[in-house]
Amino acid sequence: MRTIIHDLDKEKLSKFNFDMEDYIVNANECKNSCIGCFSCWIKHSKYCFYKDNFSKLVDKLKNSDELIIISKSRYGCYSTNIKRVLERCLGYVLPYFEVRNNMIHHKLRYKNNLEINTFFYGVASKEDQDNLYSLVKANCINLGVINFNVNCFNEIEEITNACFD
Amino acid sequence: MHVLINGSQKSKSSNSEYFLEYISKNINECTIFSLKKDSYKNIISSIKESENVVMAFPLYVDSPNTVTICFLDYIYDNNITINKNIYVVINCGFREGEHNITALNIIKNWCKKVHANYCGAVLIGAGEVAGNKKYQFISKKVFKCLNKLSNDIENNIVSKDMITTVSLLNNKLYCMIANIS
Ligand SMILES: Cc1cc2nc3c(=O)[nH]c(=O)nc-3n(C[C@H](O)[C@H](O)[C@H](O)COP(=O)(O)O)c2cc1C
Repeated sequence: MRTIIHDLDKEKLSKFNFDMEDYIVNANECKNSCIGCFSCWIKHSKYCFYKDNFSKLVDKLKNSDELIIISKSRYGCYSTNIKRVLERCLGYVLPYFEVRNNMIHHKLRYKNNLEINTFFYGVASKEDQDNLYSLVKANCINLGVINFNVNCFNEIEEITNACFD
Repeated sequence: MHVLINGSQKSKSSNSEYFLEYISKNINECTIFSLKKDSYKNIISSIKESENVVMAFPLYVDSPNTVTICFLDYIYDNNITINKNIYVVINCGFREGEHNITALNIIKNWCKKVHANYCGAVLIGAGEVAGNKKYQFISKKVFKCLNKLSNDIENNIVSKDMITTVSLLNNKLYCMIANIS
């Protein structure tokens, strides 16, 4: 199964041909931001305490072999809406710490082979692109993901032509 | 006058707020705003009248937290020019301050886009420890860096990028203690 998290509007989304089995998450519909209460770790064991369509996204990720993120690029970061969804997935990892790659990270809750492929659109400077790569890489190390890809495009059409036709 | 902006999305006392309050004691005349509680309009009109801006926020998913990014977007999307000196304080949960580098780059890239003058940062590891009064005895390095930043803010000069964390604990010990608590 693939999970696809995107921040596209209706018109742009219609240009993508996803598979029937894909689980599609429209980040623009996520209205509740993480408030840093850590209750997904302490009280609710992995689920966010806000009850909406995003509180159990970690289960979808657990059952996916690929996570695709389609995001507008902003100053070398994900768009706000994509960020909001990612922050709601903190429960994907455990609260416990361990040393990995010589740095401290969280212990992993799942031992799956999730692969993360990211597609950024919107003009990005060289510095923005370099940081997008570092950012996705850092996220992947935290999530215990080994295989990942970072792709930057100016226009949405270039993504659909290259990957989702 | 200096404008200090707390970007933490915690509703109760946050580490970012703690570090800003520390800085505020070392500089003359400043106002601390919270991105969660205060209106953007008020914050921006104060920025326009200020000398320097200090932004403090937590690291969420290796980048500035959503509340902080929303504010960056507001300024960028509305073509607001911030031709001020920007100083930054980022704190993260892991022990190493280096985790904050990707988030700092995002701020630097944003500064270029809104014509702000990036002037230096303190990147704090083990933020939940350094931001806790009880553990001040192992956080001396952190506060030394915050002193340097405060000084440079007060003198309107370019500071450095300083990476710091709590002392005594090495990575293994930090993991052990954090896992127990
Ligand atoms: C959703 C979420 C994501 C986080 N991501 C990271 C991270 O990627 N790296 C890290 O070191 N700490 C991470 N943290 C920990 C916070 O940075 C840490 O708790 C910080 O001290 C909070 O600062 P504040 O009190 O100023 O809000 C995360 C916390 C939350 C709630």
